[in-house]
Amino acid sequence: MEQTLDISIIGLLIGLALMGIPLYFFRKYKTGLVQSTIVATVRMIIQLVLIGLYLKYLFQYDLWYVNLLWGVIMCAVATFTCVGRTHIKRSILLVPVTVGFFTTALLISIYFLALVLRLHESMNINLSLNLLFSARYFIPIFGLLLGNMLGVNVLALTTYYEGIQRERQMYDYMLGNGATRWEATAPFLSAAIRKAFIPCIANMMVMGIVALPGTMIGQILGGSDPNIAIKYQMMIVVITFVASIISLMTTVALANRRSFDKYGRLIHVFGR
Amino acid sequence: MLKISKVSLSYGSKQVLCDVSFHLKRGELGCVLGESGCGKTTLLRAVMGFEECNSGSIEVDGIVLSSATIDNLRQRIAYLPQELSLPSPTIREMVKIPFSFKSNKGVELTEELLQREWSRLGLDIRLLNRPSSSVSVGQRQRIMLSVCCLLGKPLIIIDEPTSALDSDTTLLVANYLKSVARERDTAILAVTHSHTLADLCDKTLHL
Repeated sequence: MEQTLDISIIGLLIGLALMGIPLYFFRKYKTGLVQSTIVATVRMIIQLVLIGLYLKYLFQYDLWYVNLLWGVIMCAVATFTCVGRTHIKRSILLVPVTVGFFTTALLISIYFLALVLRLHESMNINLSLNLLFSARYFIPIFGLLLGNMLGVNVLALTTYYEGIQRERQMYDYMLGNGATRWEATAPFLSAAIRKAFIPCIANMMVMGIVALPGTMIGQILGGSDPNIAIKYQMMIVVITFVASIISLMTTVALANRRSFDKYGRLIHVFGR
Repeated sequence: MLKISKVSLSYGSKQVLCDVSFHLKRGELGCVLGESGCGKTTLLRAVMGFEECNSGSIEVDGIVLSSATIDNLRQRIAYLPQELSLPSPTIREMVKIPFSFKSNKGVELTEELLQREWSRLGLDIRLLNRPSSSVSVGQRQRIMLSVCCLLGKPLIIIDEPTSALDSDTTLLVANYLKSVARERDTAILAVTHSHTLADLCDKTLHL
């Protein structure tokens, strides 16, 4: 396979110059997005440079507990971002989202690395913590899972709580006719799952035809055989899809304990 | 069946219910009358634990309302709120919703049973296959009322069951409720502004 082509500083600057086009339209149509786009771009550059430096050392030392600690930090950032975007009180969501994200990402990462990728067999060594939490494999997979869980959870949790609040008559009707709390919230959870997963399913439908996924493109550009890249892409889609629903169900199950009072009424969940 | 004893309820400094008492036996039809905003719906909601009382007690079928008994108590009630929209594409699916709950699993729902109820309420059974968005508010009220009555609970609580009905249909519904209470030995408590319904009630609570 060919070596990955590096991008020069000049090349990066030419690439970044493309951002002038969206900025032009944002300004022309007074969208109010110019400043936030510039801030986001600068933040992205600084964050990626810093992460690049950090990952360089992480990969160099490659200690399982340091890698796992990095996973915990990524999870904490994802949790705070998720809770912040839903506008639901931290006292309700912080612990459920942390538990949902961390346990799901950890279990699915281990499942993928040990059973799907079969790292130990490929490398002819015993399965160990150092291998399972090796920086090269664990951190990208863990991060990929967190990124997907974040989007799905924000959309689903917002839809879920807004639904119960807006359709209180319906929720009360269910409880008032003998439904358990789980039965009474089920239609709202169903609507939330539909809203969050329909785009994922639609994306899966056209994958490879309309949409060429990032992981596959990245691997091919990085010099991988397209057949290997396709297999990776398939598995990435499956594990992100599965992780999203597991994390959501875990979060909702835990958050439900804090979201309703002793009479089953939804408490004030929105706010700080 | 239903014992409301000296119930008081306030929202902050606003007193909504003050020392309200009301008793209803099985087989009786009762109604709550009063001006808009006087706390009629609040009282119904308090019976089901959706509003918390400051003082007094509520008892349904021998169970005193508390956070420990609330699930058990709600299993003895059938409830119809004033405005209800359920997420079901057809009337058939809308009707089935409460029968799918674990606590109502043993309750029978057949097309024959529905037809019998609907004919008493002036409804055509062919509505069953119609999209739920295609029926009028009045038809929907009567459909969901029949569902409440078919659940076979000892207490039925209904909020403004005739608010969207003309006078003839109001009389039809009032007679239906009266006979359901008698035939099925059920207590029915309704909030209403309708004097047609109030006149047929065994007991009336003025708020």
